[in-house]
Amino acid sequence: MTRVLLSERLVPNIFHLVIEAPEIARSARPGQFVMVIPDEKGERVPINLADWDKEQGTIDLVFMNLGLSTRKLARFQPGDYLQTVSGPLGRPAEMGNFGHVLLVGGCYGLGGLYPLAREFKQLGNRVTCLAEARDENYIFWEEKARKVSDNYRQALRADCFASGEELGEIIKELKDNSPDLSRVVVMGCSYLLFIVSRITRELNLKTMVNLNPIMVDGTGMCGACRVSVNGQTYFACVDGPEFDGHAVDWVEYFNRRRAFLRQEELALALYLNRTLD
Amino acid sequence: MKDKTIKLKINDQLVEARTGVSVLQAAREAGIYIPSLCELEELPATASCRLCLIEIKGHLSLVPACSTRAENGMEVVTSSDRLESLRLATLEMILSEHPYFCLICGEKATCDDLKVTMAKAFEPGGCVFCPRDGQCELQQVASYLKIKKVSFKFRERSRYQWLKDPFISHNPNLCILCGRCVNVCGEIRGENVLTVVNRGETTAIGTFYNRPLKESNCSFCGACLDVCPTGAMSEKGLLAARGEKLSSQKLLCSLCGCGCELEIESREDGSCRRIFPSSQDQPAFMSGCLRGRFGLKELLAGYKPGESPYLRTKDGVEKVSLEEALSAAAARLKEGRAEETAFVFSESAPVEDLLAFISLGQGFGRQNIFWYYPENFLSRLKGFEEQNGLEFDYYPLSSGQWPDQPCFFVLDSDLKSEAVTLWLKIKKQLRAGARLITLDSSFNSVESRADLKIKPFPGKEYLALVAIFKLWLDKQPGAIKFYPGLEELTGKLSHYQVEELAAASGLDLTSVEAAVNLLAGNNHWTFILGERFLRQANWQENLLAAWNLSLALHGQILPVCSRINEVFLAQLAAQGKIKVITEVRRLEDLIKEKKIRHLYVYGDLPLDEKPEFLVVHNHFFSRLGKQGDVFLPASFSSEQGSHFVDNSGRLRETSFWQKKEEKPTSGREVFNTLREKLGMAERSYSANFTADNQPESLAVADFKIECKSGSKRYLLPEEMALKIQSNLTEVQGTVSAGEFMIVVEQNLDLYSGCDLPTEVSGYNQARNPNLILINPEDAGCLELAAGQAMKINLGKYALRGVIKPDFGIIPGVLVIRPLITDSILSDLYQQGLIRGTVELKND
Repeated sequence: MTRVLLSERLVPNIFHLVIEAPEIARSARPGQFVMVIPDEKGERVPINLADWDKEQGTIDLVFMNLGLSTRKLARFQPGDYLQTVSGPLGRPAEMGNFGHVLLVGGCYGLGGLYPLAREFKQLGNRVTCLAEARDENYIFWEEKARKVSDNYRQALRADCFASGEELGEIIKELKDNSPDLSRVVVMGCSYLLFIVSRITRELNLKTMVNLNPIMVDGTGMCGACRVSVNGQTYFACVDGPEFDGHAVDWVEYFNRRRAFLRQEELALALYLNRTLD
Repeated sequence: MKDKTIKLKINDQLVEARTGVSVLQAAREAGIYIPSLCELEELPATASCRLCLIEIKGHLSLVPACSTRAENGMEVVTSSDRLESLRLATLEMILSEHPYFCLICGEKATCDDLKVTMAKAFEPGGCVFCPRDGQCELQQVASYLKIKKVSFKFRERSRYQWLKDPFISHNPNLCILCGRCVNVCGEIRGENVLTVVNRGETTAIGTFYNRPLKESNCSFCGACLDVCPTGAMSEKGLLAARGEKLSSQKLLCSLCGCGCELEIESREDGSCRRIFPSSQDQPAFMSGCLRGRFGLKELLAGYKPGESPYLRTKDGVEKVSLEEALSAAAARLKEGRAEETAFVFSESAPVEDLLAFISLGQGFGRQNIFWYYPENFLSRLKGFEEQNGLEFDYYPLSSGQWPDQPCFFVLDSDLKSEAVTLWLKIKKQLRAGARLITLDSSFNSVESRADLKIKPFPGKEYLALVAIFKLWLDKQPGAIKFYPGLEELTGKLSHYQVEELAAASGLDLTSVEAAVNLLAGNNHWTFILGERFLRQANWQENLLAAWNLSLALHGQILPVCSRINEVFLAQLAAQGKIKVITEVRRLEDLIKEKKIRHLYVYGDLPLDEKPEFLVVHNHFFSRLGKQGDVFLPASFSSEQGSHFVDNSGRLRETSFWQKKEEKPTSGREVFNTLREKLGMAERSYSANFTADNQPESLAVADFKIECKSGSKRYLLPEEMALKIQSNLTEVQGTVSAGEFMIVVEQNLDLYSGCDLPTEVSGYNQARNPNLILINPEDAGCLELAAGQAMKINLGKYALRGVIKPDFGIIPGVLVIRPLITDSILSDLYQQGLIRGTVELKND
């Protein structure tokens, strides 16, 4: 059982939990995730580490309230206990000094990218954070991100037509203004991962994507997160979650992403009609 | 609607319209689109969205088309640069509080292909997450106006969602405050649960004290879901059907007598996505209720028509094929003597299947075919008519036409739960100025809408009616219509005082006076009788008093049947083709006396005594099914062209089966196979029961029980004097000692042995069969709090339930609505009114 210390709704749909997990906090690396089981009847849900504090022995989780398990998680209050939290899992993100690194985050990824930005900065990179959201109401942790980055940008859907600042144009502009931009890391919804990879392929920018969204078991047992990268099959959970976005077979990925959609919907509908308090 | 037409010009096009319609309606009927988000046909126009602004020649300002009446010679412009730019600005303002980003996003097309995974979010921050995506009227209007940007800064309202209720959820962050849900809830449905709360930028849809719907007397009819233009009011757990191939089928709901037309939306795998009322003649929100809409959905999800039959062997229960089960049943039925074999059915199967069953029973002789009809409603009505040689003027409900300015006198009928479609029709008349009086001794959810509510003691309804009659006689003797017997009646009533009659019925004189004033001041009265009016010891007196009053007013009588096929089966019973069994105990006695050894039950029966051989043939593997020696699964109105008879006596067609299953075997086929095995000739059954080879020649038309020597005359109440005298001294229970009069109300949530509150998750929260309704003052006197568990002692039997104080209950009375699952409850239900003591000690 793991105690919840803080529970907050950051922006609509995105929640933030701080939980007591000293062992995980001690060995956590950027890009890793934990596996959470909310309650005794709960399923496993992989969630990125958004931050951790070795001294306090706490970890921060930022997630989107989307399906059954995240809906359960969002109901947790400080003092409640999670059934299990195990981790850190997955390979840490590939770190190093790449010169100029662009980190693109959307929805929960705005949280998950923070440790990467911090570490890239410590390793002497120039760090640009690009937060993608529908509107500024959906942007969170801006202050935190600004502290660990040299440049902070936002790409908002509300502005798409007004100012023409579409994601591609922003990335292109960054590339044009900064020839040493050699690496892009993306975290967020599957669509964002795909879109950014498509944009950067044209710009010939090395892009790493975090394929968390398709995980089920998270320890390499179930195989639900098989992805084809350069024609080879990998498990997103144990071989990743970070992969080369230009080499991922996106068609297969999206098909796999919806493999359990019907069951997910059914579970959620049943849960909603049974919990009425 | 009047056929008079007017002519007007819309966008230089000459358009004909009915008088009285709005410009918006006239344009719509002529195929001209005017964007609107708040207007709906049949709903009162509120002109709140301001999108339907139009220009009218000669008018200085722009007017909303929805609230402007179309007039002869009008010249209207519905689309111009000025109008479209105003509409665009209005829409931008609406969108500034509604997560609109997907509406203007340039990547929508690509995203549409890939977003299948995202439709479940807790707080939709755009169409991509919204359960209504693709079916949203805001999306339609946005695409019509080709919106490209929203000039106003988006304001995220961050309001709490309503999640405490079953079936219905509300996301205030998606609400555009069109007011449709409030209108439909109050004006159409008469629920008055939803309302607009707060002011200015905090305006929202709310309930009284912001209580959850389940604590706000919401009936969960789901009409708010039908009218919401966005995803604000949405069916709980229902997600956008992106990339899914949906198919839909029509189904006639057979869960009560209304026979609402429902549409079932199924996914490719045959699973049911949603059920909603759908009719060509009227908007969806004019029919449907919790039972058909949400109850049926879960039943269909759990229901497997292909479920195999069971056979009881020495070693227990064994799954067998239909053929084996039928052979086993036929073999045992053959062994028994015909007079010791009984055939009992409940009303829930299609008419053709019921006829086939009756015909099968007739092969064993006519004496033992029983219809389990615990209400005994229409048969009592018919018996009364015959006994007294009367002919009632029945209101032909199937004609669908009310007289001008109709008036309704509802007697012991909670129309909302017994016949919701009838209630909605009456509600519509009330909006047009009709009058309504309710006389009900128990809980009645429509009485808050009545011009006058009369609440007599349970079982003393007839005294209240006699008091009204007597007062009228005293005040305006000339106004009473003359028929034979009036003088004798006047003479008999002259021995009584209105005051004592009123007091004996538990009323004060003012409500009797008010009733007389209303009755005398209006014409065209229809007396609506609920089954509870006749399901009590004094039913004959009740009917007599209602008859005399209706005669005095030239009124008509409209019996409200709550069960499907009830009208049809009552007709069969009147013709002596079937017998009515009201008390299961009688059947149990016959079984105990070995007069019935073999029993075939089609449908369900709360039977506790098992005969030597029991065949159960039902949709659901119910309690009785588990006791049966043979269990045969019945199809769920699945046969193409099956028919039911609704409460207005109309024959209604239905055809439905879940595509994921093989087409199930219909009742007809099962009975024909049985006939073959029993050596009887095969028969076919169709809905126009007129062909020569049909066993029963029936005219299923308007319900009217024929009465050859019928006449119209006033009836004399017998031994009235004695009853009144004893009543005057009678004490109506001693509340302080916990003694109460208990009204056992009907509960239609037990369908064919399937107990909806248990089988359907969340149903219990919407409608709990264990509630014990009590007057709040009585509850206070006994220190009983809402939600407290309670036990009622009925001598040999104890009833358990949960307290719910309600001001609609008169002091000294408890109201219960148990599901009739065993023969003891069936007995209590039969009696209608019982006495019991509340046990105050916790056990």
